[in-house]
Amino acid sequence: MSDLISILQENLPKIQDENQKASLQNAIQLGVPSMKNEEWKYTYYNKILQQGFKPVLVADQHVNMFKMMGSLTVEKEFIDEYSVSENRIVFVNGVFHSELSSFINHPQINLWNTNNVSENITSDFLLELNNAFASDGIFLEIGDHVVVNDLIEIFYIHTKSSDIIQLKNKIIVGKNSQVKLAEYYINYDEAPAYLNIVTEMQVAENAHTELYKIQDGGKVFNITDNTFVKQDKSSVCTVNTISLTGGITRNILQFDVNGERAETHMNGLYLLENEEHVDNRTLVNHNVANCESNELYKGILGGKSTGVFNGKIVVKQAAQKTNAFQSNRNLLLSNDANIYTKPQLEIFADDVKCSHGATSSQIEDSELFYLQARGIGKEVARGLLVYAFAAEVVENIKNELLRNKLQERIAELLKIEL
Amino acid sequence: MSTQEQILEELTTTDYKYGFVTDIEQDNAPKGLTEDTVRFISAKKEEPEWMLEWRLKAFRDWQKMTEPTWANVHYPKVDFQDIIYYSAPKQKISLDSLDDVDPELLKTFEKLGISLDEQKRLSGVAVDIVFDSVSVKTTFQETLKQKGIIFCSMSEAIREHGELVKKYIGSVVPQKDNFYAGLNSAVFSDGSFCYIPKGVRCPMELSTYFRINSAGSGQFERTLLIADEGSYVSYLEGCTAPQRDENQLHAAVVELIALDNAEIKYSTVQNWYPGDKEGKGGIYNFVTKRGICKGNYSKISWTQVETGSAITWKYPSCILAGDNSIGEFYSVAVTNNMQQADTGTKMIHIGKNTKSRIVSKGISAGRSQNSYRGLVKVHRKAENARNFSQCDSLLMGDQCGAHTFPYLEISNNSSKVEHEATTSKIGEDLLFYFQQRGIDEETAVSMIVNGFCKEVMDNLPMEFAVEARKLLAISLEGSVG
Repeated sequence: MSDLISILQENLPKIQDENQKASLQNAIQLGVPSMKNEEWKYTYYNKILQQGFKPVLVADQHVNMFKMMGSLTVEKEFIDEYSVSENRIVFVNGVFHSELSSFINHPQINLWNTNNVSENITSDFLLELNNAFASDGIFLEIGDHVVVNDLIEIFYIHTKSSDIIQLKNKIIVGKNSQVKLAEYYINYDEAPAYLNIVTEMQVAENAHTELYKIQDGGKVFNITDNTFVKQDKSSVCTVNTISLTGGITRNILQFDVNGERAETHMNGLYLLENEEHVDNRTLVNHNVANCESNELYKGILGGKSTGVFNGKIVVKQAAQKTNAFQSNRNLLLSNDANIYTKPQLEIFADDVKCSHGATSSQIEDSELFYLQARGIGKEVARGLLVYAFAAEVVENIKNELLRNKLQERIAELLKIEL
Repeated sequence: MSTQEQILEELTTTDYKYGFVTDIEQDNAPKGLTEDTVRFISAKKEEPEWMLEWRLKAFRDWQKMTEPTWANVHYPKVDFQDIIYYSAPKQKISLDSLDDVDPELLKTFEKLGISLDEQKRLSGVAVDIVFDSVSVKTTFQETLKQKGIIFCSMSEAIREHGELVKKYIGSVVPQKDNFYAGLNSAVFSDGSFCYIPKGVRCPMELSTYFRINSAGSGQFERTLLIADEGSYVSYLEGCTAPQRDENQLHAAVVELIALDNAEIKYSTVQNWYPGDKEGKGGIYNFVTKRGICKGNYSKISWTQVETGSAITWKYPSCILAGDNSIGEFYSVAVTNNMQQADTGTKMIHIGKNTKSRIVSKGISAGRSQNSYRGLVKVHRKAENARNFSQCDSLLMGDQCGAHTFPYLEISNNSSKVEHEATTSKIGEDLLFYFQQRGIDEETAVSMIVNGFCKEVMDNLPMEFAVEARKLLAISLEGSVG
């Protein structure tokens, strides 16, 4: 039995809440995911655990946080580096930080920080672990007919801590409302960090939601992100997952489309180097007719990095006239990089248009030659081509400030000047 | 040997001799599977010691294995102890001409439209008919012999070309490869063996027809095809089975080996009994087919038209080990009524400049489920590997399903891999276009389906292509409108 399981068992008597207890028991029973599990075929979860992370109960965690807290100025600098808006919610080591946060006052927007414990029992180890140990999270409720123009930013800041930081968010967007959210994952020193986060989002009728996940936490930041979205009719939801730096990152993104004429958009970019590992798993359940989903994930893999993409589209029998398109393109910059991709379609309705595509290759010699023939140095030319490859995803980001920031950051990572 | 062991051995051998007395008369193995069954089959086939050992090893490994459950198919569990693992026709089987063949047998073949006479007449196709596990008739052997080509039944090959068989059997699909391959290795009854010597171009299409006849007897074919340096062979395999209510298991293994500059073209038309409209009966087709492009510049091409079977579980694969080798996979899988198919291919790129191409067309109608499952793996050393995959699905009716599970695993950056898949139904506009020009709906659909599959059909040898088109039409009868 692995160490983590025995730690979980030690914690079992300390938990009071019945739901959390049930989750923990379930997690113990499910066991740590192994590579024999089809869902974990290409990601070795134990590699995160081997770095010595332990789950901690809420009570213990607050103490830890105050111990770790340095001066606020350092965190502030980090936030200012990324922030493009005045609405921000900041978590430091998994605990809401009121001094760093600032939030608009609006009668129809409610925000609490709570650990959002759920009663649902799932068959996923990480979800159960999260439910049992979630220390904090946001509960954001946006009423009907509310348009929030400014980006709402959520920062997950991590400082020296070997705890598994576990957060659980719940976001409810009311009818005809519009909201844009951005999540930033920041590790602010050299020590390894691990965040296991669950976000549930409900998008009501005719609401428009955009969610940006900016994963740029430095090479020792491990993330297991689980996002579940439920969409009602005529709603539009866009999720952009941008993984720039990180350790082992696993993003689960699941949509349940429960209302007709809803639109789902997923964009992803993973820019990997060294031994970074990103595992993107998306699932769209088309439960009703006349919906549309679009998915574009692009990967740039250098060093000894590994990219995993598993995109699944399920079209239920009732979901006639579904249009679902999916595309995963990869650029391998090094011979030590690996890409494992599995675009998957499961279709039970006949009157649908569904397609998926996946490609992998390196930079075309002819394209390089074209640029070199025009007097552009080889390295710059290569950088430009890679940047152009990434641009397709970044250009989908509607918020201009955020887009510019990301473009600069990507150029910096690719060592080119714009 | 201790006394205890001696007693034990005596006991088992006696028991085994005793058990077979009546069975030899019936020419059937007793129901069920034990080591004795394996020994019985091996003894029946007068196999050498090494073959028996090989089978027993497979059997022992198989006992430790569990049935695979990952495929996207659902069926009642097969009771492996309720199967007769060996049954041979009563007739003695050393015949010189067609006249000696049991007329009853010939009649069945004629009903299926594959009469020996016709086959013999037809453009020099040599037919090695496997009827219930034993090779009944081998034709055109003389012509082939002149070229040095060995084309015979597996049991004959084991007896007469032991060295070749010993060298290659299990080299592509090892005994432990998977559950059904293990089972097959232990109890395979017969099959075809083919060896094309260096630099020989096989002058005719080699072909075998398989059929399952006696009730309750699983059929375990084993095919081994070796193309030596610079040779070429085209091999056809076709299956038909009569209506039956009991589920029958078919677990074949096909191994192809292509050496330097050799080319193997393997075509299959599969039309096992698919069960009735309610899904009752039908064949379970759990087949392991794999080829290895061992030599440089070698090529293996799989073409399959799958219309039958209640359940199809089949992944003809290519291991591209030699530099500049080529693997191809062309498939049409049609499922109707309650049929389930989980089929696809694996392309393993190991050598430099290897190329592979996958074209898979799935058609689902009725309440059937059709899945494509494929793997493209590019090893780190497979410089400049190239793959193109296309898998399209056509849905007819709102009760059926089409699924794709492509796996791409790429570890070399100079490789280029492309995969694309689409799913749709026959467009109203397409149908309208046809009808506008005076073509009725059913004909229109049949034409559209044929167009959809054209790329695959074009890769079939002539006589097969005709048969396959007919099959397509029959399989989809009544699923339109």
